[in-house]
Parts: sequence; structure tokens; C-alpha cells
Amino acid sequence: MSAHPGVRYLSPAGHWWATMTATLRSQLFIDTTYLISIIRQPLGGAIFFLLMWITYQASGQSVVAGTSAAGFLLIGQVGVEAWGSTIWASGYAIQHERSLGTIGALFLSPASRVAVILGYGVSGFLWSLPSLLVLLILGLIAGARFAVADPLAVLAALVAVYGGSLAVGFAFASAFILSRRGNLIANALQTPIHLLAGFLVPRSSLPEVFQAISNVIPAAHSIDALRASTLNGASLGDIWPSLAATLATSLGFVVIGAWGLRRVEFAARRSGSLELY
Amino acid sequence: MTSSHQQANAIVAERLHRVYAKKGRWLRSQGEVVAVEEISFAVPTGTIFGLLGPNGAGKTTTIKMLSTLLLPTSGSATVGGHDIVRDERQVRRQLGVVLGGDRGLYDKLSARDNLVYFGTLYGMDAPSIKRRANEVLELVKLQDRAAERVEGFSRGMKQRLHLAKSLIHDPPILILDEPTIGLDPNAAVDLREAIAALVPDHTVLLTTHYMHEADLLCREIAIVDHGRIVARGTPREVKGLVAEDRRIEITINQALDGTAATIEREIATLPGVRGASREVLETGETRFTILCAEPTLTLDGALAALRAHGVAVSAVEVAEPTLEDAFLAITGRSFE
Ligand SMILES: Nc1ncnc2c1ncn2[C@@H]1O[C@H](COP(=O)(O)OP(=O)(O)OP(=O)(O)O)[C@@H](O)[C@H]1O
Ligand SMILES: [Mg+2]
Repeated sequence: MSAHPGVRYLSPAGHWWATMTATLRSQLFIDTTYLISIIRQPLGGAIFFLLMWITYQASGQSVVAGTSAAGFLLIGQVGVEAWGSTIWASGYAIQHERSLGTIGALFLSPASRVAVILGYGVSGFLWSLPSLLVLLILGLIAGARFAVADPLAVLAALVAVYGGSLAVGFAFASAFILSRRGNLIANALQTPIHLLAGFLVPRSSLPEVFQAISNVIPAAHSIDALRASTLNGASLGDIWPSLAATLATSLGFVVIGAWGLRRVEFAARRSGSLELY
Repeated sequence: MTSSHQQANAIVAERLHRVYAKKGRWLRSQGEVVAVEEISFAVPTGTIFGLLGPNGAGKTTTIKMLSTLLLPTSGSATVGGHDIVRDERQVRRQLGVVLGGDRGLYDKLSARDNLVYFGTLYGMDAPSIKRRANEVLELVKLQDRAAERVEGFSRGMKQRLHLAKSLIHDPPILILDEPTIGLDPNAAVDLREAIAALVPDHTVLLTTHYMHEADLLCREIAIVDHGRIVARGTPREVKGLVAEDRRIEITINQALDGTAATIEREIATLPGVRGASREVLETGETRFTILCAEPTLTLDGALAALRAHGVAVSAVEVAEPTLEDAFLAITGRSFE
């Protein structure tokens, strides 16, 4: 199979894993080129949290959906970070590939596109960790108090929050590849989800149409689960309906993403727009 | 899996045709461009084949179709025996592609890290990548700069890294779009040597603007103009199309401004003239190049035309035609 007697190839699974981790490594390396990009995200998250918290204070609401405003917002901010990092990582990364002109080379290789996009997504996840730490400290200072009965439930809910965001980010990756301005789409998508998924205000306080729409967003369900397990001492048994809803909606987005990627590659080859910036 | 070595032709294009939609602002359509018009050619395994032609002739479009980045509007092609539309994955595995230019590399990564990443995308294992990265860096003479970020590379260095990148997985077939563009003369010579050394183990399809490059490297060439192949064969055969002709160069030691075009038109319409072109030299002089069958007759007419415009001639030369002249004769206009 090898054209070169000395070149050895990995198994398909090995190839997939190596593609994912190499993309992750390159992406982390590229993103740490500038010092500002390292502090930008935690700083941005902290400012956003303070802004929302002060807004609640000013409106005289110290209790939201049965918990402290600080606790409610702190957990909501986990959703903001997860959503921002995955949608932004894949949107921005694909836009970046396009501006560099490497997207053609990527498409020419036999590497799994899913592995590449997942590599971006995981780098986004890692980038959000320092922000979460900063937010945790800020949240505690602002008066957030935890009531955890089942650490496993918290872990499962956290995985659901990130997994769900990744699934939606994956579904939008095709749009980023096809569009010449993926970062603008990412930008436009960022804030509506904050509102719809109940990151900043309880979903029950949204107009009914928005509530209905929010049901298809994985993060809406996973944030419910995360709030219940961290602030109200809910167990795995209590939150499983939310987890199941996260899984179901996420799978939907993964299917859309996989279908979209295949269509998009074909469309890009037909229009000849892949290399254009 | 690879069957290209048993095949007589590594690349076969049959009536390849590509139309682009011209897009205006927003969604407005501005009609269509026929970039490649029913091009057919075959590249024998283990040889270098050159596509030559002026800007916008359709070379890059042809190459993008063959490398599966672009779907043909009609027609078909195989690379290594695999169909470029249906079996694009098999095609990609045996292909190394240089699209060239300043883009196409991760500018914040080092040269070596770029190669390692692309090697990974091709599924190579780590020791193979490491060894091949060293080999190709040496081949393109970048081993001393391998640890530096690509954003600081000169255009020629990037161009060489592009070639290294396309070779990392050692594909049997290479498609190179203007591989020596932007290189200084010495670097171009080095790179040509590297490309020449790829055969007969590899098959190379390249495009170029440089006739002498094609003459040096290619077993066969095809001259493309306005999306069509206008001449094809070995460089010697293509030159043979104008072997009977002679090339006259008339130099005038002044810039001519507006009259130059008029004079060129008058010369081009003289009897026996197959093509005429003019250029302004670095020295500020103007040179007319004329391809013709009867040099003495044409020279009389050309000099008379110049005299009629009050232009003094500083030098005249009559020579054997080159590949450039073949192009001039075939298309009736200058190559550049
Ligand atoms: N993406 C595109 N959309 C619309 N038209 C295009 C596109 N790419 C190329 N063309 C048109 O197709 C024709 C052929 O272009 P192509 O790039 O293939 O030429 P070329 O021979 O490679 O030229 P050069 O020597 O300048 O690189 C040109 O008229 C060009 O404007
Ligand atoms: Mg070109």
C-alpha cells in the first residue's frame, strides 16, 4: 500500500486519534502565540458574569429560580463558556484555515474531517478551563453556595453541557466551511443561545415561542441538570430526564453535522469556492 | 492498492471541461467563464508533463480538477487509474499537490511542525514522519531553517516548503502548480534539480510560465490558451512547429509610448509574419520580436515601417526560434 518502502501507516483508528490530537496540539500552540489570547477568555468571562450579576442586583432580585442569583449565574456561565468555546473554536478555526489557504490541503488529505473538527472543539474545551476557575472564585465571592449530594450527577451534567455544545458546534462546522465568513456566523449564534438555553435567565421566564424552540438545544437540558445537581442536591436519579433529553438532541445535531459535512465537501468542489477567502 | 506503476499513463484527462459562474456583489450573477474547454491529454507514468500558457489560460483550473478540489462541469479523468469524481479518496492517497503561493501553510507553526502535521493527516506513523520530514527538508534545502515559524519565511522559502509538504507522504504522483514561481535563479535551479530527480519513480504534472523550464524538465508539454490545448508534444516537437521560421529582434534605444502599438500592428500584418510582440527592456529600450518565414523580406518591411514613424534602430538580430517563439507563432501573440 505504501508508495515509499520506508513509510509506515497507522491503523484507521490510530490515524483518527493522531489526527484529532495533532489538530488539538497545533491549535493550542497557534492560540498561545499571543499572550493576550491567553488572558482574553477568562477576562471576558469574568466581566460578563459581573455584568449580569450587577444587573440582577440592580433589579432587586437576589433569588432566581429558587437559588441565589450568583449561583444561578455561575452555573449559567459554565454553559456560556462551553457554548462559546466550541462554537467559537470550530467557527474561528475553519475561518482561520480558509484565510491561511490550508483548508484545501486539509480536504486533499485522507484524514477524517470529524477528527479535525473534534480537535478544534477539544482545544476550545481546554481553553475554557481557566475561565471556569476564575468564574468559580468570582461566583463564591458574589455569594454562590453549592449543595451537592451526588458528585457523579455533577460530573455527568458537566459532560452533558460540553458534549451538547460540541454536538451543536459540529452541526455548524459545515456552515463555517461553506461560508466565507464562518466567524460572523459564530458571532451571530453566540448570544441567542445564551438566552434560549436559559444561561442568563430562567427558561420559564421566556416567551412561550422561545421556550418551545429552546427544547431542541442540548445545553438547555444539560444546564437544568447541572443547576439541579450543584445547587439543589439532585441525584443522578433526579436529573436523568434532562440528561436523556441532552443526549437525544445532541444525537440529532451530530447526525445533521455528519450529513452536512459530506454535502458541504461536494458543494465546495462544485462551486470551486474552497480556496477562496 | 496503488496500481499506477503498472499503468502506462498515470494521469488521463478526457474532454475535461469547466465553467465558473461569475458572481457579482451579493447574489448577482454576471454570467459564466469557460475556464477549461474540453482538454484531453495523458501523462505517461514516470515522466514529467508540463502545462504551459499565459495568465488565465486554465492551467490551475485543470490541476484543481485533477487533484479533486474542483468538479469538472463535464468530461472525465483518472489519476493512478482512479476516477477523479467517483473515487476521490483513492486519488488523494496517491497524490501530492502544490498549489503554491504565499498561502497554504500554518504560519504560526515552524516548517517542521507543518510537515509533521500534514504527515499526520496522511496517516503516517511518527517515526516515518520524522524520517521523511528530514529527507524532504534536506531535498528543498530548508533543514537549517526548519525550526523557524513559517510567517517569517521569504516567498521562495515558502514555495520550497510547499514542495516538501507535497512530498511528505511520498506519493507516486505529483501535481505542481508553478513550482518555481517567486524563486531566485539559483533557488529555481536547485528546485528544478529536485523535481528532475523525482522521475522515473514518480510521475509529475506541472504548470509553468517559463518555457525554458518546460524545455529542461518535461518529456512532453501541452500549450494551453483560452482553456484549449493549442499545441502538444515533446519540447522539440513543439519547437519543430516553427523550425522553418526565424526570429528577428529589433531594438530601439528609446521608449516609444503610443506609436509602439501602431508599429507592432503594422509589422504583424506584413506578409510572411507569423507573430509579433514588443517589450520594454530594463534599459528603457524597446524591442520588437518578429517570427517569420522569410527574414530578409520581413526585415525590409519592418525597417521601412519604423522609418516611416521616424524611429531609429539601434540593433537587429536574426536567430533560431525558441519555445517562446513557438507560442508566439501558435497564438499570434506574446507569451508574457
Ligand atoms: N473561482 C473562480 N471563479 C470564477 N472564475 C474563475 C475562478 N478561478 C478561475 N477563474 C477563471 O478561469 C480562467 C482560468 O483561470 P486559471 O486560474 O485556471 O488560469 P491559469 O492558467 O492558472 O492562470 P495563471 O497563469 O495566471 O495562474 C480565468 O479566466 C479565471 O478568471
Ligand atoms: Mg494558475
